Amino acid sequence: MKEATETKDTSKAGSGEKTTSELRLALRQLKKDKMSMFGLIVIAAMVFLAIFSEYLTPYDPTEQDFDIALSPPSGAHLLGTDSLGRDMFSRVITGARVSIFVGIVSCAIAMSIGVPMGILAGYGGPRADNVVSRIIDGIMAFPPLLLAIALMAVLGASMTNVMMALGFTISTHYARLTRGVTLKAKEQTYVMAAKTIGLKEYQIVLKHILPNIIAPIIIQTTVTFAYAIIAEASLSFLGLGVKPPTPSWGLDLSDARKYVLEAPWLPLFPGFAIFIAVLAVNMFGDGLNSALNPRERRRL
Amino acid sequence: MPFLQGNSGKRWESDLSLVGKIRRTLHYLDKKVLGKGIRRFIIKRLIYAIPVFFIVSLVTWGFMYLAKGDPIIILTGPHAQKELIEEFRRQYGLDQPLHIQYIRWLGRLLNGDLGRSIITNEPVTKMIADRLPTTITLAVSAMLFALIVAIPAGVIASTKRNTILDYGAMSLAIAGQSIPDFFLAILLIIVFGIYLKVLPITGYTDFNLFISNPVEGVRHFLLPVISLGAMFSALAARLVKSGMIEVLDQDYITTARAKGLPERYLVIKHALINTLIPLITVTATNFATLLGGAIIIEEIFALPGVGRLLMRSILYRDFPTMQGIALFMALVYTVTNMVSDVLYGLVDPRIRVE
Repeated sequence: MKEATETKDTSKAGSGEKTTSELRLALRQLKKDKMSMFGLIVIAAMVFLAIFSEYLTPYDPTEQDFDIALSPPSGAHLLGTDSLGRDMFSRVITGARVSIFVGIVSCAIAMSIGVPMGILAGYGGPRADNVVSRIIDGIMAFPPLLLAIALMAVLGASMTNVMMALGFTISTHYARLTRGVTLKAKEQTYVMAAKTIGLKEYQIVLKHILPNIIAPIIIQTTVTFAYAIIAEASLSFLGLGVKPPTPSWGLDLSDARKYVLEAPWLPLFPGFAIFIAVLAVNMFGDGLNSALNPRERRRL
Repeated sequence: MPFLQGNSGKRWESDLSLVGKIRRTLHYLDKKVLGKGIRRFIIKRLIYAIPVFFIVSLVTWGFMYLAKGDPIIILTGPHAQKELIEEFRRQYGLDQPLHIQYIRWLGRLLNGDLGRSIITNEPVTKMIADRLPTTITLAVSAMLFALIVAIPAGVIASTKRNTILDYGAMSLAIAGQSIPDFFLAILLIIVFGIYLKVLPITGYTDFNLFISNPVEGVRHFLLPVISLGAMFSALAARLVKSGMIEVLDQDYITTARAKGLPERYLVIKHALINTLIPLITVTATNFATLLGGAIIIEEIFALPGVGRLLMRSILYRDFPTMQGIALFMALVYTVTNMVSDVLYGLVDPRIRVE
């Protein structure tokens, strides 16, 4: 019943202008959503910091000066200095680099493993589904952080390995989601129609299934991106992520924690950097979710 | 459906409530009308768990072979004589082909033997069992804390929609979902441990503290539990809210309201009960995430649990212990999920039919 009223609404809205496509409706809704626009601005600012950090930082983020170690925030050092006398402000700004880079690459790895696996399970018939689904279940039985920790322990700490470990861990989430939406898309009339006119299987998958499952995959990406930022910080915090001189929020937080009695303000800077980054992604993701989800769109 | 006859007056009321569903399900079981179906459903879930366990074991076993460095070299040291290395290799069965090694390992595993720690030579099962009470207490209390906060928050947000309470609760929820547990832990340590000095931040040595001095035990667990539970609590609150709204917008709620049923009755009997079922599933699946999060929380608060054992075994490259813990956590997850699936199937007949 809800669906019926909705189509009526869209046709009414569409008759005034030319035609209102789903995408345009979604974008319009997204623009109206203040929270998600705020998130988007913060994300854009972070990307800007990550790209141009070299020109924006007052000091070299890896330059040590033991004389001023653990000094509180001041005019010379806006956020103070860490235990090795490195400028915290410069490190927090440059830290955006690792977070965003790891987030993007691990999501890309996860997507390129998970989405084909999910399509195989959802479209390839019950036998393929059974095999792929059991593999996904088996990998997902491990707590995600534990799996990443174990992988890092055997692969060794480095940024490349962090991206691979997280990509692998997250890929199962994409696979499970893609399987579900593919199964639903497969039952639609347009897929039957495509089969009837004799399209090849790969054409059906690429031209008819994929465009129709892309929205949930995009929504999932905001969730996994936020997760990747937290997971990278967690791994670096535990000493299993990015290697020391590189400015990483998780690494800086774990270092600052050791001196929490002498400099209790120090953990706040990298900590809030992670928090704000994740919050921005989550806020944007929430808006995107309700914009791309027609049922939610009406509710707001 | 013979069981429905004779109580048609009461039928509609019990139709939607959880108690009614359970009573009805039990009735089915008693009469064996659907008894076979439920048994078949449970057996099917058990059979599903077998390949999952197989994959879990394969992944855990595979870790050993992904590792840089030969486990035997780790054992003997890098400068050992070739003959000694060969001897060790034979002793541990590592000269056999891979599939034989795997099958042997799996055989020992099925007998409950996870091997011995390379460092302490203790059986891994004993090491895990010793630290388990701490980790389970942490994870379960974090989950309970999360639900105790989330359910009222979600109910208030959905019944007082678009009020300051709703916005407040949901802003807290999105913030809670974004704050990493380890940062929240450090924040709580700074506020309650260092500035206010009201709660201890280290000094918990083992689970016996709970027996000798329960109050002190609780005080030690307060901050870890809050840090670990916050993220799940935020997720659960949002789930409860959206689930409740879905029900409260239904026509039958309007009817019930028009009939003059009290609002509290509607909220609890209809809306809340309906959100509890998905909440059970989400709780079960998130238990794994909580166990994973416990690793980092135990590190920060120096709680000697399974997570801390894992980090120590990684530090010393103690692979049997690592494998054992990974396997154990995956097993806990598989079992909790299976139980929640069976519960779900018992409560909601649609799941059984598939």
